[in-house]
Amino acid sequence: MGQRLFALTDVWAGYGDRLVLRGVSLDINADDFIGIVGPNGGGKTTLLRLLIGELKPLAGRVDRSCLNVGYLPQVQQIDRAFPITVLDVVLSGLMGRQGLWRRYGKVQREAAMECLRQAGVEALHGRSVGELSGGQLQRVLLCRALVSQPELLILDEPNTYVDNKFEGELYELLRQLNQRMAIVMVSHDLGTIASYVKSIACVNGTLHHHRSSHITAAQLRSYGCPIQLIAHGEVPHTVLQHHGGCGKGCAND
Amino acid sequence: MGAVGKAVLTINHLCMIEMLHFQFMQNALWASLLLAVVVGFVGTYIVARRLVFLSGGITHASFGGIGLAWYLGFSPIAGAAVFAVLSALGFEAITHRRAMREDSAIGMLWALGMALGVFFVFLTPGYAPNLMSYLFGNILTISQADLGLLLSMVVVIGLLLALFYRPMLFVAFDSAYAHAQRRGAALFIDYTLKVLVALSIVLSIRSVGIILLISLLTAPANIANLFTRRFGPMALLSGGIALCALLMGVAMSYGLNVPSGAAVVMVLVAMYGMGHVGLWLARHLGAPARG
Repeated sequence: MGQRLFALTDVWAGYGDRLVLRGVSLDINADDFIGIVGPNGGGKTTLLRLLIGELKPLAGRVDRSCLNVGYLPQVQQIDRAFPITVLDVVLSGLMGRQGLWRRYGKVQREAAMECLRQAGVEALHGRSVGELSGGQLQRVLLCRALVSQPELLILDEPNTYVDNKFEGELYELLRQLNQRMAIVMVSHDLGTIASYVKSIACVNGTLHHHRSSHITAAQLRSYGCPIQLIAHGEVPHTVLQHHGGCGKGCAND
Repeated sequence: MGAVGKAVLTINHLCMIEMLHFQFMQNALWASLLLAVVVGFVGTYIVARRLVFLSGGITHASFGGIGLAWYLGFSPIAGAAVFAVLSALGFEAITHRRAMREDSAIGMLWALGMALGVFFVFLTPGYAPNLMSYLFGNILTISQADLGLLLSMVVVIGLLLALFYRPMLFVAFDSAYAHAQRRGAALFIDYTLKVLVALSIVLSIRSVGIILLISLLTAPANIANLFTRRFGPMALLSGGIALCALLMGVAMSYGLNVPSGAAVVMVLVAMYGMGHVGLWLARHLGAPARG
């Protein structure tokens, strides 16, 4: 087990008087590859916002020993009408390191170009984000997340708006990146990510970290995680569709 | 000033030489130039970041400051500045805390500002002769002191751009990402730019007026956006467009004796239409001729 990068200890979080996460604890170590699943409204996004530091917990502790976190948001959160070039988007991933005062010079531009080269979108560096396809924008945003060489990479539904070809490449890339950094990935498609992640965290009001990528419908049910588990075969079909009542995770309210 | 002469010539060439001799006309021309720089950057920023409605709220809230300052006997511009900055910071805090719907907060403060302004103006003994010039603006009454304030704003904008161009761009593009990376830096940029937008609005009120100001902030940037999708070129181009519109507004204001603000807005909207027509023509004439 690698060095511990992140520890959430009994964290409660929400907005105003609406409580979304109750008593969540999660350790993230340097070699982790965690897939986060759970129903809509269960708190997956809130958990991510805690991890990237956008949201402060109402109670509990967030211990963050890594300074450098890369984040790939959902593509539709990006304002594609904004007048900014691809190169500048990637450079914005260095703001954590450069801060207010340091310049973005040749070294930074070359790091950004190298990233774009590896993602196969080098030729687009002068384009504005409005001229990109969804898949191209996703690659550019991945470059922004990686350009600072983070210790932890967080991805929010990376497979939502990409073509199948890029999805395969993306998972292969993530497997390689996982040798250098921890990865936390939110996904609605447990069936696909299960073969890539090392462990599964189930978020529905609270969080259960299942330290294995093999998970059964019965385990998911016991975690209070009513998600669809799609078995991939000739015809995709739902193994677990209906979830009655509330699991033990939210039984105490 | 060749461009100036040209713009004026189209309106009333007989008056051209004569009008340039007046001090107020020279002030108006300098104000146009300085305002164009302010509007080029601030307008592009609020359009790109979708802060147009918020800027409208700040503009109208500042009228409350004008009224109160009038009643208490202070400088109206100082009162407007205080109200504008406070409302900008208030909106910023509301956005960060998610205390209430931001657009509702803007709507309420918008009307409250106007109400306070009217309230205090009517409480003040005697007639308020310059009320119209605050509502609709008159670039021909710009004073040397106003010019000094505008010039300092241009210097401040220049300094900020030289020091923080990229962090400003990054925070504007994806605020959540910037906050996640460098919370302190992102907050500094957020608050600094809100104050900058508020003060720029206040300094523009004298020229185009509260009611029409939002058009001067949005139209040039949107016209520029027809031709470029990069922030820097968009800001430069919209500054140039604002300058043309303001000069034509000055000329029309002088020649036809209409409020400069109204003239500027009509010129800008006409330019926006012409921009679209120009693009359409370029697309069709640029295509290979059909046999």
